[in-house]
Amino acid sequence: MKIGMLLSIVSTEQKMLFEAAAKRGIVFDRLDDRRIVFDLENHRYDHDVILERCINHSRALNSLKILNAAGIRTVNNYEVARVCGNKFLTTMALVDHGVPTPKARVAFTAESALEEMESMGYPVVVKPPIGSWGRLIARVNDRHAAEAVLEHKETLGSYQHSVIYMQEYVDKPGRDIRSFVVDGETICAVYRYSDHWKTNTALGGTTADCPVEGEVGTLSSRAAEAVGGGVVAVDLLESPDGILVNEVNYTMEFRNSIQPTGVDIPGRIIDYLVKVARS
Amino acid sequence: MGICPECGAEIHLDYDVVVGEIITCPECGAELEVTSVDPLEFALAPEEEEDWGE
Amino acid sequence: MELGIVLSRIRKDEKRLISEAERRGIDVKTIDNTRLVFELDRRHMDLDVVLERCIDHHRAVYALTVFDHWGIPTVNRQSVVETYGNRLLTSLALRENGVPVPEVRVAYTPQSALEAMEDMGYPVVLRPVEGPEGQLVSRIGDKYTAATVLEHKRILGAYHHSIFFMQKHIDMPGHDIRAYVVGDETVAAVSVLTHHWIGTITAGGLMKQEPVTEELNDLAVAAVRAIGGGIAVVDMVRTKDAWFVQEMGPPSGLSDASDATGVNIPGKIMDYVADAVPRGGRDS
Repeated sequence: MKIGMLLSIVSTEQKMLFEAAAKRGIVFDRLDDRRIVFDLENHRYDHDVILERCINHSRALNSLKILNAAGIRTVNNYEVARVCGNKFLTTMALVDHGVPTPKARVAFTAESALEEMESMGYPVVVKPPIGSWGRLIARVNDRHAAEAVLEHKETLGSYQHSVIYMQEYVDKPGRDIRSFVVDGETICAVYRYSDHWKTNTALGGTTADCPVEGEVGTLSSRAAEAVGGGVVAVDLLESPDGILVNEVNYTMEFRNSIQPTGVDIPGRIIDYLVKVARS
Repeated sequence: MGICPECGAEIHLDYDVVVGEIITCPECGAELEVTSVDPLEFALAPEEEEDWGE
Repeated sequence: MELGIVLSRIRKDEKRLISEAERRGIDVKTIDNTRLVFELDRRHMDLDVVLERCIDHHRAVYALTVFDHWGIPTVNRQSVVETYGNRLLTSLALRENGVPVPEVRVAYTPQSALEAMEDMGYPVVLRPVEGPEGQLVSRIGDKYTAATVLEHKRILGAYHHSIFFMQKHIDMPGHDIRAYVVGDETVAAVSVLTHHWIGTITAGGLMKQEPVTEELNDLAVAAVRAIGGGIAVVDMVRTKDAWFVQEMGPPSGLSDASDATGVNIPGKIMDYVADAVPRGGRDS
């Protein structure tokens, strides 16, 4: 069995995955995305499965497309990465599958976005459709803030920033939930606490175990199914009207979630890889 | 022992690293990528880009 | 029947399309994408069919995605626009369907891209994966030029400029042909006369009618089918013994091509759009 890992740098997660694989007698064939050249005529990949762990979304997406077109199975596959990597596509997928998610709007110019935010009422959360780690996510509290954010996007941003994704602000209780779904099963979840309104552990904050029985588990599995399955992490918000799915991540970080949950997340990912490789 | 390419400090690691791992130079704080384990060698780690993240 | 045309500006082409629609008794509603806001959780527009005429590729793809989720038929379909707006997706789709295309390599860092070009042999055409035709397309003749261009991309470019899409250069100046395909037929073809190697209309090339031979028609139609069908332009180059499809794109330059060929391309497009509506009208 030949299992590849597409990556650039080795983060804690990658190291944990190497160790979990080694325990099962598997050595990853490492494919460094900084050295790789894809030749569309003669692809030389004969892996049974490749785990994508790139840090750049654009490299991940293009590589998965090329590998899948060549008939190589990947975790996750191109479609999952395409949908999860774009917040607009994620919202559309969740809405289509009837999964509760914060209300969202899309506009293409600063003027139309401003008008829409005025009618939605503040605060509004403005996000780049593509991007991560909470980068450039803005909580816009009034018209002045909206004008400032939109002008910066228009003047400084690449054309990707000409699509303005706006989301209703969800008043959550100082924490959110991150769950981990592997092959349709919600294997564990954590509460993430933070004083900052962006409760992303990449931005600091603490975690604690969150039971997955009931709604958290069910919604997470449904969200994963909506984006196409595989191995994903689901971000959930506890709103006054019930739990909402905020985002779904396809190359997730999990280093702070193993200890509080007691679940061997990297081990479960490797087991799933082996299953895909054998299928 | 390896040398920090940013400040020239000698870096001793008392834990196992693998190629591709990121460490922080204890002297100057630069983020370094391990490019070789034996002998221990470092390069400056890549800088964060707009599309980085989970 | 109500046709929505989602657009950025009403240019010459859009004017002709609208008048062709009116001649056919089709109600046209223009949808200005600069004023458009989509609510993602409910359908708030009622149309029989949508024709996409945005200038900005991303606006087109986002808007078509929403209409698609609402169940409104669109010309072109979202997946088709997403494909022809991205050179990697186009190249893979054409290749998969046996349409001849130039050799391609993809790399993500200046170092690996340079190695790939050295291995392919110069000249190499370096293109952004996405972006309008002709823009930032560089013909690279040696490794010094390669290093310079790669450095400019790395330092000045946004992140999507670090997907290096390298194509083997096919050197046949004066043999660039653009075919206009509507559904299953090449309705017109033009050759683009230019002294510049990029050979595009935007680079100031002149259009001249090109006979639609069976060979040309078959290749152009096969290319459009490969990306999912619909209306598109196919840019082809003919060497001594073979044809290649260089790129594909949205149906632009309709007025100029109609004038050069005497074919009413906007009219053919409107016939196709009318056919895209399911019989019995909306919600059937």
